[in-house]
Amino acid sequence: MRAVTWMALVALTACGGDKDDDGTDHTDHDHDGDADTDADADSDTDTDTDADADTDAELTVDLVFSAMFGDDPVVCGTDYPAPLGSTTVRFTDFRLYVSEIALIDATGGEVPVTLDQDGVWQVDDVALLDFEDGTNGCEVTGNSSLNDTVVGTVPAGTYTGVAFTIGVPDDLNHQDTTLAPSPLNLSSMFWSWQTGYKFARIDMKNDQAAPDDSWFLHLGATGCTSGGPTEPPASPCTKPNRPRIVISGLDGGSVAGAFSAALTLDAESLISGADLGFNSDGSPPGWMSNPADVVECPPIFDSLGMDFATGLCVSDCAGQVFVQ
Amino acid sequence: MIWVLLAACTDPDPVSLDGPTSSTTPGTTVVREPTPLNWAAWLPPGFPVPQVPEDNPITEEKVELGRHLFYDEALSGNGTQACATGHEQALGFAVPEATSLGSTGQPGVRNAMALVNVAYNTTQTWANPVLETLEQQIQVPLFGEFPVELGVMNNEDVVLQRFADDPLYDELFLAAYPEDPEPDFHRITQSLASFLRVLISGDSAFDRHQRGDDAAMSESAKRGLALFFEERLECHHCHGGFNFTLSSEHESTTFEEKPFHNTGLYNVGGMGAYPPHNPGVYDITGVETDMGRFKAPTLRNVAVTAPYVHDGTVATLEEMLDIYARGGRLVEAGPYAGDGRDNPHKSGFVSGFELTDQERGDLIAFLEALTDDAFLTDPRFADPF
Repeated sequence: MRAVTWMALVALTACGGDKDDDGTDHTDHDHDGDADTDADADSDTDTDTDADADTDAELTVDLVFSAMFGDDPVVCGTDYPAPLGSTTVRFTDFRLYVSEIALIDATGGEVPVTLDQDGVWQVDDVALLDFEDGTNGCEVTGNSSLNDTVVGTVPAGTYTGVAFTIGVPDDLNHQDTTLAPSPLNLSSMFWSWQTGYKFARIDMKNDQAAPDDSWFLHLGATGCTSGGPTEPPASPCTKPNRPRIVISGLDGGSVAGAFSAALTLDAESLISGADLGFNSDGSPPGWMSNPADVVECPPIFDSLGMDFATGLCVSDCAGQVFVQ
Repeated sequence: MIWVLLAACTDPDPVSLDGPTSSTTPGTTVVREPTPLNWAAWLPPGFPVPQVPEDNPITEEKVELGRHLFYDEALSGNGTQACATGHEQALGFAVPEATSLGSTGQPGVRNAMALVNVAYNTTQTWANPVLETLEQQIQVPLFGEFPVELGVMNNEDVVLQRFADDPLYDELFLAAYPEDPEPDFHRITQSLASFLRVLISGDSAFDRHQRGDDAAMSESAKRGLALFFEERLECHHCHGGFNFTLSSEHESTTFEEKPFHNTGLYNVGGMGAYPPHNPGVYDITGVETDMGRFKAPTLRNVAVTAPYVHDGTVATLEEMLDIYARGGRLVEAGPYAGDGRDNPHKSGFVSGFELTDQERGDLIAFLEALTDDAFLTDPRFADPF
């Protein structure tokens, strides 16, 4: 756990602090459901004994993500050089759900990670990664809380990789959002028109004048049919749009009883083929998984290793360049 | 539950009579059970009981809370708009604008639908087969961003605090949710849906005619009624049934239908396209044949809900009839030019017809006979503030 805390602190520094005006620390890197850092330190000490007792049975898993633009961390309010259609790009939101997280064992098989149920960032097998701090343009849709880490456990073993899905699984994607548990209760991540969630919300500004300055990247399932507000769809969404990411060649770190990995979400690679100065006539700015956005969508799908026409992975999404 | 209520009403103990919803004695709170809605008091003769979700049983108290919320601008992020801003009772809960501006000034792309008999809707809004319940639909104006309507997204705490700070809502929430009266969006949604469910119109001249009042409709309107149900015009294939839309269901419905139709309003580029911001069901499903398919709304009170169609581009009933008579609309110029009559996805029922001037007038007279003045002025649906 100490190694985890250390990594979390590095991430905190990179994200430029995480204090609210009221001084409350909303970041909860060890996912014990307690957002207060001081209390976390105490509870870590208290629970170490318990964790040690069953080291043989399971490993703790910490997957620490960093949101980058090339070599630079993504920070609200910072201009980065845009690839196409604009000289600069600035982020006003950067959040995504990851789910169905697994480690890859020596045989290449996937072993599911059981996520800590922290009541804040993780529920069932879904976790929210949040790289916007609600400042410098991110306040419109965002908030002060940040989260860069997925925390869970797996049976003890030797693991060499990580697999996860970007998105909310079907069985949780069509629930009554007014009753949903955190982190599925954020209205900025609701996708009411498809009765689901935005799997990823990466909102950007280009160098144009308002109102043409916005370029939104919203990933979500489309073509859905639903049996009702609290039921999963009678048939799956025709375009699931859930990239399954596999990262191999990981050693799990050097801490006994733990598997740790640092992963990068590279926004520069994600939008490398996207024309940030273009918007299809009449559609909301940018790209919202809308079938009508035939110009905006395909480059993003390419970066995620998916086929725009089907919403499915091409060759197991092996061509994705977003997660590194 | 009725017995509990009766007991509460006739309890000689003065302590339990000092408030409409609750009363306090030292150390205890007596909370009155909500009253299940008596549909008989709300439904016109012969109207079926609407389906109500099992997890949102309808009560008098939820309806009353929902009515207040519907008319309250506190239910928008910046406090400038209410549901009623886009849905005026005198106009069948529609508005005269083709499309509406949201609370932040962002323009929408659809015509505000009339809220008439929405309790019977199989699906909500113009073109979304996924939005089946009013509870689901209410999330869109509350939290939607494209366009922003009420703009509650990321303003939830501010909005809820307004209700928490208002003693009137203390009473209303306590009455509707005596077990847990704290304002939240689950209860707000449930109550709004409950209010929308009682917006039932069934006392038009046509209805009185159906109930045997031979003087209720003019002779012209009677001829129009006959025309409406003729196979020549095919109106009833989409606007049929007691609710004048086949996209209806009620307590006894066994087979749910979700009809959507392409009525040949556009044919951009000659290949069947609709304007890209309003492609109909295609927007949801991405299926090519769903291009331009929209729901046939109820025709009850249609004479007061102009303008018409999903984007409000048809100004009058006469213009609408002319489009159907032609078998589709010709858009002569502009970015969306094209002859909708040739739209490959057009419904087979929009094949055109010829009308004499008298027949045209008779049909209009019939549509006007669907106006229910009692509904448009019913104080139970009016602004409580």
